[in-house]
Amino acid sequence: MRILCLFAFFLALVSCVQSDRDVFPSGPVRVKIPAYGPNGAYEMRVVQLETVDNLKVFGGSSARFYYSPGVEGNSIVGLRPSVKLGKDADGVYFPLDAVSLQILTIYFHSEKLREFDRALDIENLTRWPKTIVLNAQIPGASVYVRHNNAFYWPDRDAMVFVPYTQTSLPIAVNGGVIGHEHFHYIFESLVERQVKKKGMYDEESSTAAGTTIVEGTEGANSCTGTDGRKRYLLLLSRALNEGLADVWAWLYSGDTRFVERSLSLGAGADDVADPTNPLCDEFVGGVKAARRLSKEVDRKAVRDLDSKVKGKIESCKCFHARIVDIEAAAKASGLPRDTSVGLAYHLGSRVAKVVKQFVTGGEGQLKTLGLEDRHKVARALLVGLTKIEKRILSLKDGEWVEPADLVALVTQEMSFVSPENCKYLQSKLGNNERVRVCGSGGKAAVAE
Amino acid sequence: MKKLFFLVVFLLSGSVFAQKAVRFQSVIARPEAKPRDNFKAIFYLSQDFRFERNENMGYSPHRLMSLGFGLRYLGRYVGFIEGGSFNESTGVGNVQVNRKFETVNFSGALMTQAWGIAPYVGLGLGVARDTADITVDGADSNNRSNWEPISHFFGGVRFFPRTTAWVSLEGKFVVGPRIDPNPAPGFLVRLGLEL
Repeated sequence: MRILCLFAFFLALVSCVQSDRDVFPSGPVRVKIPAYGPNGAYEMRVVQLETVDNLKVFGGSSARFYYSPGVEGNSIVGLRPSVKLGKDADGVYFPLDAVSLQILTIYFHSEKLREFDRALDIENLTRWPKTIVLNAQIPGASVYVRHNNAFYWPDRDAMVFVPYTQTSLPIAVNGGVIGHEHFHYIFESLVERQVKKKGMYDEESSTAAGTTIVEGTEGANSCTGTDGRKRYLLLLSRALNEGLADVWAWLYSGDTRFVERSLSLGAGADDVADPTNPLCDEFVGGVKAARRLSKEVDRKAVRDLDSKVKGKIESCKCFHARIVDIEAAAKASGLPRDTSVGLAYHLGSRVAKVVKQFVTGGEGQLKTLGLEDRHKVARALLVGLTKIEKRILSLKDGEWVEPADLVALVTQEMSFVSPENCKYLQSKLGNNERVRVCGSGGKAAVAE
Repeated sequence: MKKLFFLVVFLLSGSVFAQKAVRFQSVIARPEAKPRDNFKAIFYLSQDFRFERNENMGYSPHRLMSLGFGLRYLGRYVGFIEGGSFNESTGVGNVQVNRKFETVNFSGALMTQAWGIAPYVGLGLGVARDTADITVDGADSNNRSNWEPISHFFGGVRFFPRTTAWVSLEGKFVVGPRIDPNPAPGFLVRLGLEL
């Protein structure tokens, strides 16, 4: 009996003491997660995580997680989630539940995005480790924000994932979407921070008393004066942010169908896009627009807009007129003013398509870019962002800027693109006589 | 290292059983002893409610069904071996994780009995492993962990409504490197026969 007790005590001690290596790894760990594979689909793959410092309350120098947290002052406070992992005979950790799987996957992408940033010398542009909020509950928010979404929360510098309720690839597992959200950090740093400081945006989300909405097309069909310019700049900036984020997501993940993988088009939205059409070619980001355009008034406006612009980047006049139309209609219908954000998504999706098509071959056969090529495009995009910021900040009172001009500030940095593609670009940016749309490689088609 | 660990476990277990066997031999050598009365075989089915962390970061009981058998010696010492498992399924979107937890335990308890009520305390050692079948976007992946050591401490009361049938209520703490929380509290109900 004594031996039995001694033996039991010894083994109990062994199983009591949790191996340090199992909680605090001293080096890289291998985990199995869903990742976008070379065959163009998501599959479970073994990947290596380099910076994890806690395998229980999972986190490391690339990301820290919160689960259903609250906000106190400027801080996010709440539960730091634990993960449940198994460890196979090869020493590879695998998730034992769906939340653990999402946490591992987001961490993997945080590391990879950091590597991507490092290759572009912008690692220090954003803060690491990233703050990741999972299962965020946002009472009072619209249905599009409460579920099936992810967003960057600049006030808290956090990437937020709300519960996913659809039956496709969860957003928290979708590398493209995570890359898209990461780009918002970059856009915030390189473009929006200074513009916001200068008070150039009208960020009022509800129609405040006294806010002027120029009703009717007479006063709105112009890009002159000061009425509505702040709102226009806000939505134009949002459009570029969303559109270029889609481009970034593609550059990072190599996945051209990342939106479609997670978000299905809602009923009645097929007037905006053909859901069977690969988003990469025709409608990158378009699903987002379609999701937001739930109200008939909104969908009709976009349908009208589509028939007019035929895939082009619309003019300042056109975009502004639509903003005014929608916000006036929203006000009359008792809808929030932010209904017009759908327009920004729609323009953004067109920006994404145009940039991507320009880079990968115009209207012709799309080519697949290697990582080096994608870095090259991303570098050009970053330079373009600094120029966009400069251009917006330099606007004089009453001066407006054409959407195509800002897109051209990005594309003109892509001098490595074949000159033939400039024709495609010109067809989408319009007869642009104000700025050069192509880089030096496209001088033949340069309008300036 | 693990193999050595299990070898030590095996040998020590063997030595304990050997010691018991020698005592048993000495008991049956004496004509006045009634070894059949000293040893009783135990068979039981148990339902364990173990409070593990769930995917919402709260705690909920996992229902682990076990089957076990063992011996009760001199009415006071109880030893048994049991095997059990539970399944857990979680998912989001087209991601599905089906987990199976399996465990095999060897336990010993000290028991005292009066008027059909037998309180007891004990501890046990064993191994556990997890299997996870993960489906993502239609692609399957099967994963299985190694057997890893766990231990448990328990105390409870066994009721004998009949001389051969019993039911016990037990509180239990399970300890192991991948048990969350560690230790994990739980309680269980056993229905058994003592022959």
